[in-house]
Amino acid sequence: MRHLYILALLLFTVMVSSCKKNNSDLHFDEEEVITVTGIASNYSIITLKGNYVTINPAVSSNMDSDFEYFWGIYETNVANGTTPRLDTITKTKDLNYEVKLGAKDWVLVFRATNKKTGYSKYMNATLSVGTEFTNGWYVLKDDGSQTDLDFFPTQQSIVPGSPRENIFSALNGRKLAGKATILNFYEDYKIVTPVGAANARSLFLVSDQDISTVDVSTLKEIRGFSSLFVEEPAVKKPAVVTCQIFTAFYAINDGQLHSILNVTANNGRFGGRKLKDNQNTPYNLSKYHLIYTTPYFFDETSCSFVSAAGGSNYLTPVVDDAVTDLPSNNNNKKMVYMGLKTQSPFVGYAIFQDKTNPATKTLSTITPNLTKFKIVNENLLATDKIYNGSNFALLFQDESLIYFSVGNQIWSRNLSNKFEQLQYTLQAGEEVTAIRHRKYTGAAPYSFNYVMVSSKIGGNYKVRMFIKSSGNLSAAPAFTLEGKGAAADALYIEPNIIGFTYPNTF
Amino acid sequence: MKNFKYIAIAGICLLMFSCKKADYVRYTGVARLQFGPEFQWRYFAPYAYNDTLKQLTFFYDATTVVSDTVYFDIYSIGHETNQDRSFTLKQEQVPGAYNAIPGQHYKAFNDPETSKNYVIKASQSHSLVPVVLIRDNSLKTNSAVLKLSIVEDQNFKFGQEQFLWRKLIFTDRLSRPNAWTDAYATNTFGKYSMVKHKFMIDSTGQKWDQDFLVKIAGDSSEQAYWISLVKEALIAYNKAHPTAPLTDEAGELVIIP
Repeated sequence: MRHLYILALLLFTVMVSSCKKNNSDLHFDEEEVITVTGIASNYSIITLKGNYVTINPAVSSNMDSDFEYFWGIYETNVANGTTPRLDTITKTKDLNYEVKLGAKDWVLVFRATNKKTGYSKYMNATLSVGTEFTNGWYVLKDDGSQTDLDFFPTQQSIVPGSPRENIFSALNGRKLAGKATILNFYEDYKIVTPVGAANARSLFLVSDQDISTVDVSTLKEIRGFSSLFVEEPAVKKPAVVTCQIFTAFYAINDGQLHSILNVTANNGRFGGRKLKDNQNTPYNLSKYHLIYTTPYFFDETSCSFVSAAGGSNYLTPVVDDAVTDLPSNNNNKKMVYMGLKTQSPFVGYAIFQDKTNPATKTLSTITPNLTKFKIVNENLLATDKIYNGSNFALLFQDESLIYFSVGNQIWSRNLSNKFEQLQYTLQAGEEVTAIRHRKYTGAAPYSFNYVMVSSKIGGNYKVRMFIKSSGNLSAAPAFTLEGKGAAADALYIEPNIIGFTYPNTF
Repeated sequence: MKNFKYIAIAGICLLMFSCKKADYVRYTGVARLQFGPEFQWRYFAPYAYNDTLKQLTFFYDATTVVSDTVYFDIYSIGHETNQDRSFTLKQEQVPGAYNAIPGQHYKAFNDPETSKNYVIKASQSHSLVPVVLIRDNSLKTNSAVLKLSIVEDQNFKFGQEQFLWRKLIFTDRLSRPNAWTDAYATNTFGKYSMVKHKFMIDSTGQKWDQDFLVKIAGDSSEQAYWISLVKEALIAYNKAHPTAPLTDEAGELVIIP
């Protein structure tokens, strides 16, 4: 019995120490349901025109209620490391908000709080803010010595209306020096604002003597060549600007590689030129490159492929696969063309010309890899149309075809069976200036998949937009963009386009 | 004996439940004093140990500069008062170091000209502690260490133990800036040496001091640009001196990763 007492005492001691206050929030009352109607999931608005967004929600509760309200807004696509800030718009139920925001998607937040119970209901709606410049086709063109931008706004469909010619120079008071090269779009290029770095939806205009980054909502220049580098390079000879997905921007100027590591704090300027190795061996990169999660470039001095990292001051050498038709280093080849065919698997194609025997040309499949770089060659015959072709363009992630021009003819070549086919013949006197494959799977009627053939005749350009069927061009273009000068590139832009809507390739 | 066993078990049970983490120094109505991070970071726990060590060099200053002042942040704990409260500091000797000598390397803490500034002003709980450093000739060949700590007095008792002191290393030679952290040494600049530091200065025209390193850390492109210049210059130097590449004061090859 005594043992029982002692055990009971022990148990009591433990129980006393185990007691814990119940601080849980469990309740078994009826749940309050606050119902909010009259708020759509998305609102679109064009700024610069004094537009208002007006929302009159209806709010009710299954309990005795007395509501207070809140409307706020925060931005999307903020710079890395930046927390979006919720700004209060009003504390009334009805919203009548004059939109003076940058062109991008914002999120409207509505909160109704029942003061009698303390319960709140939150509702979100996307506010898509556009400007007169955020929807349409942009054409990068030149007059032989200066580059400018034409804008073809789209209203009801992907087919645009009348152009606004030379829109870049009209808004910025200058043209880019040199001939147009390539036009890119990125949504996460960094700009400096009074509250820190921010992402800017930006066009990159590249000519052979100049670069300009432009805010697509205003078309105002963010940086020109002189302010685009930490120190302006002595030689102005840009070849291309490109982007490694979510990681870094690269610029090749005078054959030298510069980068912006975009996952760290930066002001949108490119750093110093990268060194090839610890001997500072000279190099000269081609404008042709392959890039997705890792970039690959071709050094025309050593005839070698190299890679790079946004945060490194050196180029990265690559090592051959055990089985390759052509060494990736010191292969004595001139790169005539290289473009990206698919991102996954990461495969490109190149046309090489032998430096010792220029008559030897190959169409080569490139499977880039830092440690297993593989090149598979297909010898081109002098009788092949592609042998004397120019303005090459691969159908990115589509049919196994490469397009090219021979004189005023547009040809295709099947990458698998080598079959070549005449696709289209331009008018006599027309000169092909570029071929590009661009596609965008957006909301109808703005989806498209075009082979874009740019040509020049009599000081004017035409960019013919061809729909393709099984890789073959339709008999006539879906529509044609026309203007003054020679077109090098064209892009369709709308708020849902992001940096990797279009591949970074020629 | 059996009862003793049960009592022992009961005692162990009680002991198990009575374990409790030691508390911080609790406010009991006594004013306390301790060092802390810059005022803007006072409520941010990750910054609690900021500024424990500060470094200064007269190296970049004109020869006419004979002294400089370094400031530490100090905080009172407890209610603010409606009159100024002085506090007391002392130097602690650091074993094995070239300890600063009062009057020669710094103005003594009990010097009236100095100690008059060691005050928490009325209605305030924060103050800056000025430490006046003297550019003595011995600093051309030495780095002096000054460890200062709080002394309990009639106004203040000790705050938390780990925040009762600050250390200052100063010299008239090149010295490793605070921003040249171990992480930067591993990833960016490589191991610190005065030879490397001087080479970086000579090859870029930049000071590579604390302000410069903090500035370029805010823009990865700018940092990459300057490092690229230094690397290029180092390669050029070593090519020009094939049998005598740049080595540091310890005889090691100067390398920037």
